[in-house]
Amino acid sequence: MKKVFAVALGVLTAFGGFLDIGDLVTNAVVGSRFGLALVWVVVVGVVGICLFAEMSGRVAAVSGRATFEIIRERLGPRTAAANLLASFLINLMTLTAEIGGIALALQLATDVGPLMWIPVAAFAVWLVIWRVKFQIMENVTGLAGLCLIVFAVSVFALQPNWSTLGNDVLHPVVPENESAATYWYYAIALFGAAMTPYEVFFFSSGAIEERWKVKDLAVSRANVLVGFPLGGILSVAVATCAAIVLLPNQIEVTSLSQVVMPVVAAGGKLALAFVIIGIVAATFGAALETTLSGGYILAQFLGWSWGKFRRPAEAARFHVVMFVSIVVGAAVLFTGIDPIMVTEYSVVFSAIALPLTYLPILIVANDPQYMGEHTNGTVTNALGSIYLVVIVAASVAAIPLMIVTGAGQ
Amino acid sequence: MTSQQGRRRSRVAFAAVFLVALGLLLTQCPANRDGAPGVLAAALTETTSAVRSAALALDLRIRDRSTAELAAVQVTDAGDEVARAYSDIAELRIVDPADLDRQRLLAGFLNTALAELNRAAAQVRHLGGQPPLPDLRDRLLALADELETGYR
Repeated sequence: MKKVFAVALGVLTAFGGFLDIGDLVTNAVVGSRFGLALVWVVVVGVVGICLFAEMSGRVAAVSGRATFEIIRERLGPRTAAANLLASFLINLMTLTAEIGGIALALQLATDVGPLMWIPVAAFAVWLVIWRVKFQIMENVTGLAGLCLIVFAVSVFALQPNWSTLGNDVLHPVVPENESAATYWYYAIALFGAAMTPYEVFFFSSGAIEERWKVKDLAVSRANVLVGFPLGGILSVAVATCAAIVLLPNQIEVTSLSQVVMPVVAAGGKLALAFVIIGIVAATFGAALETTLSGGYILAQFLGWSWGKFRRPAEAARFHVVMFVSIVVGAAVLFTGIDPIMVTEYSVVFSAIALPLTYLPILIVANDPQYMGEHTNGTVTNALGSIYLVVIVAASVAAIPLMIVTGAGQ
Repeated sequence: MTSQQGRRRSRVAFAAVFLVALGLLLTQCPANRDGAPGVLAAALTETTSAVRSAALALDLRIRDRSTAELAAVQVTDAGDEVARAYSDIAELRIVDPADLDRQRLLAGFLNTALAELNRAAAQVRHLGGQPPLPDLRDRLLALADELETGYR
């Protein structure tokens, strides 16, 4: 019974914690401009994140070491340093977007400008990282994030024409007023949002924090293979809501306040309360994860003591890195930069850096020296190799498409 | 030729190809590719989208599905979007008389849109002295239609 509860809690936490500001904004933008013509990208992205998160969790559980520690040892300091630099900068960008997301969500509830909320959000993130236990932190934000199910409920409440929606999903076409380049630019943005690198670093380091062993692999797989696809359904629900309400009204999403419009149209003030709690929880949870991921990868690369299972005094440099990251993220937002713009760029830059994250994971998961009898099987390797081709293609095409489309204009 | 010289030449060749490719790519960015008419058309699309968004926000507020706080944020966001579009077209250096006429027409529309959105923001914040919300919503929708049909 205890094991069933652990699996259920893990699945629900993975489900509720799947969405972040990048997923919310990108899916809503795509839904309002392309309808459901890009749902297939979410499916491809979710399968990819399941594949590589399972691998990184397995590496951590079997070897007892986090992915980045092994990357440095297996690929050497120079390759690992390039990986670290790209991952750390993108992580910082994502953290900035998440803190901005918390501030914007709180603005929706209060009509108090985001600049007033940024210090509150940043302080709260630091306080939770400093004081709250890893498991409590993860479970509370993940479970509160389940409020975002309101997007899925709204799709039904809006009573759409299901056959039209189904046709849009199965026969995707580029709308007349959009170019093929913009379509593919947003395809890459959606892919980057679904496969954000911080998720796998957090997942593998979290496995060490929670002291996973080989016997926990089943629970880990259940979290990933059930929780993440359920989270993917929420991504599709966000896009569907926008496609039902905003697209026919010729409203293109440019702000978070527009993302919640379909939910309010469907369920009124009660739905609004749920969606605001859900967005705050999702962005807050993601801010915690990105802050920790930044600390994890730098500490693991440099061989510092790390982890929330240690007292802050025992992992001082790890905590300093996280504190500085939060301050830098908040400072960037105080320049007046639009958090939604930071979000849109962060998902595209994530896509550019994907090969640096996922190739080393595939190499390590294939190394019998670390993995013993738990090295990748033939099917996993075949899928991993196909995904690497897709990841490299997305990474190479991202910058040219960004220039040609003026970042999706 | 030593191998060091060969490596150096291939690096220079790679850098040259990269710079040419980047240059060609930059000619395809919307600002260079579409010129002033492209910027004006983008501003038109952004503005009509923002105005329609504010109208929907007011509609949800009128039907009591939304809160005053959310409606205020949504209308203010729409105003910010229109202000951005205004700043984009104001910075344009236009020489073609037809484009100049379009810029003037669009600037007039954007001014009207900003004024209406400011009124709507004041009304949802209960600042008084403004037309009722249904009137403001209808005026915004009419303005969006006028923008689309009037700008050619």
